Amino acid sequence: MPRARVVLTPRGWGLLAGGFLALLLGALAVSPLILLIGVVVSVFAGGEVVVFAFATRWVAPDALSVRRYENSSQLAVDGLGTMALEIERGPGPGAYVEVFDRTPEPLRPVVGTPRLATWWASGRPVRLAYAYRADRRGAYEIGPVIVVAHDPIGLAFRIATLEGRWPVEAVPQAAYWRADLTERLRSAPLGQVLVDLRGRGSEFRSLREYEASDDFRTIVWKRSTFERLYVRESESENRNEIALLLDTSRAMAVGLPGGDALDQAVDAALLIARYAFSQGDHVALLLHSDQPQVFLPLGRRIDHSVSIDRALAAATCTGTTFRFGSALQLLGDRLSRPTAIFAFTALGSEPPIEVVARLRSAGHRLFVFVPDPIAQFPPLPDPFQASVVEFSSVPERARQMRAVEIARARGIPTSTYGRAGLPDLVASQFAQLRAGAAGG
Amino acid sequence: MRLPGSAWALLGVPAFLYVGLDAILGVDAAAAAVALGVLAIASVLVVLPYLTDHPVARLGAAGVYLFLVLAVVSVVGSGALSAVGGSGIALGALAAGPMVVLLGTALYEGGLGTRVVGLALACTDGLVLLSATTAAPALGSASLASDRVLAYFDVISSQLHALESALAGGSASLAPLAGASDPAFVALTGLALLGTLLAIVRPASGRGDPLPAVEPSRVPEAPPELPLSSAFVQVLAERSRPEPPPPGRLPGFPSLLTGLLAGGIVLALLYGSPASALLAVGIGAILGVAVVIGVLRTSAAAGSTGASAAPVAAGARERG
Repeated sequence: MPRARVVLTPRGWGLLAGGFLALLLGALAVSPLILLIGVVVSVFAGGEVVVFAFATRWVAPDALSVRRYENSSQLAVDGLGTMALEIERGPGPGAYVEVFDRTPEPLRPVVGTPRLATWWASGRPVRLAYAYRADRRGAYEIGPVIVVAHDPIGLAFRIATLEGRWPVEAVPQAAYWRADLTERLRSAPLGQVLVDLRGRGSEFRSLREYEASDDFRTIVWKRSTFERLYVRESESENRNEIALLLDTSRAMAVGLPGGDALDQAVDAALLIARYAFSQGDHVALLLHSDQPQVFLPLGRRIDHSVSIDRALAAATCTGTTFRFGSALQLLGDRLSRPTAIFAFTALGSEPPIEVVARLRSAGHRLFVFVPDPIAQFPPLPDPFQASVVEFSSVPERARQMRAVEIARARGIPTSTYGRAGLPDLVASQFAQLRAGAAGG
Repeated sequence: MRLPGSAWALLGVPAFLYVGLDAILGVDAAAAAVALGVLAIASVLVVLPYLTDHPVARLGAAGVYLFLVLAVVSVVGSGALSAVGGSGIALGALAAGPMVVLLGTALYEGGLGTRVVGLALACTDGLVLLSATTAAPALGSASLASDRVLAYFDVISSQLHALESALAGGSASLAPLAGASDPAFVALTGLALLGTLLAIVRPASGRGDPLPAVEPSRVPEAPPELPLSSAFVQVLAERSRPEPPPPGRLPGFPSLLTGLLAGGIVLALLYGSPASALLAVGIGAILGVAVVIGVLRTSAAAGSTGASAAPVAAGARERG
């Protein structure tokens, strides 16, 4: 269905109403002169609207086409993206138009403009080009393009919405990719989770001649002859399995826009994921609220890394509550090898003891990071306001602290985090793992 | 809020200055001098805000309303009409009324409709003044200013009575305004109407934001100090800019001419056959409403858009 319509502006309504009121006044005064004023104004306003509606029939989706150039589809937060598009029109009289490429609020134009008001004659396209910065992480859509034909004197406008959106993902840049953190990460292979099979892994590397110390079972009979025996040499598997679990319930929306608890968790998860990929580790991702939102199984290929980046960039809070048990159960079912699970959750519910026990028996290790709701906001300058906020958050905080205590009592390493410092916390957890200080 | 282009409303000044002077001239000299003084002061105060943006000018124009109303009410209410000064002040205030109404609504109005209604009200007031001038008894070569003031209220009263009787089934031709006519005033009112309409015939969006009407100055842009690809920088340089319509195209003028033509036809009919003119106006009004509603409904039926409102042209100015 075409999406276009003519709308009278307040100016248009005002002029028409003024004309009719003048007619009415002329009738009351029984004065031809005032009637004449009403007639002239009414015909002028009505005629202008009718002529405008007729002359701008081409401002309709089926008579306009949008072509976007090859534009940015993924950029880092605070990074620069570009957008260029061309709109062609069909035949018809010229008109004043305002072309507007709708950009989401976090994508802030810095050069050029997504809006243009111009006289548009047929036979030439309108080109928009602008560069923008992404202020916040997220998956966005640029568009639709809105074309508004203005009546030259502002009595009416015709508006047409043209589809042709462009998806853009603003991925958190590794703002925390600091030298000290990477050093700490590098020195922290995941302790007990590390699987080191000393050259007896399952991934083939090459064939070589049999030596006396070799296991007889590694001989490749198909390639061997009576004179010469070959053995399969495998790559040593010292890669780690890491699963990232992010709570996307409404409880994670606590904090300032662009820096709430979920944003912190996304940053930390990206830090872990990128480091893990750089080391050749396998990474899985689960975004879960009351039900799974996104699940990406263990993988380490470049396309898997991109998928994780995109899923994390698009992570948003839902209006539901988190079901920790169901999330852990899903991971337990899907993870076949011992895995370190990093869960970022507001702990809307406690981890069920039987599920935790099952994970533990399968060799998985669980580390939980919980946002402190008060610490997600900058301190208030007014002590009275601060005490009111603290008082009002007492019940929720007490509930959360109780859940944290229960998790710790069940042997799960659980840490709380504030507005900043989660990456440091994650790095510390790695270091503790390495030292074998953390249980779980 | 003062709209750009509102100075066109000054084209209405001759018509209402003419009516005001017509009401004052011909009365006794002393009262006429006082009335002329009041008219002159009121005229200057209401015209001044069109010539300067100084807040004092706007304050003075606002004060004129209060002064004129208080002058008429206090003079008539206190019975001071018999005094020369009192009747002169009251007559001057009444004579300045149409111009103050016209310029006041054009200066402080909130919409175009208010301007049109202001013009119609000013014309009505002007016609009342014309009728009062004709109806006031003359004593020798001059009439008393107080008589003209009282005649003004008599005309209003008679008009209301005539309307009442017309609604009761009588004839409306007895209404004093029906016969009030002065060729010079009609011609000057045409000028005032043109001024009202010309004030809006300029490129503007629905919110009054200006649309490009002249070729913008092409200031060469400094290359952005951003890490942009050379291909994008080229596209950026070639993007569309605000363009004015081709020379010779005057927005709104065809409709303005159509309106004036329709007015001319009605005027001709009025002189030839007043009854058919009224019939034509009635039928025309109904047809006009039907066509406008038809256009809006037809285009609305084509679909609804997700956009809640038209973006403002002001946003078209580059942000970066």
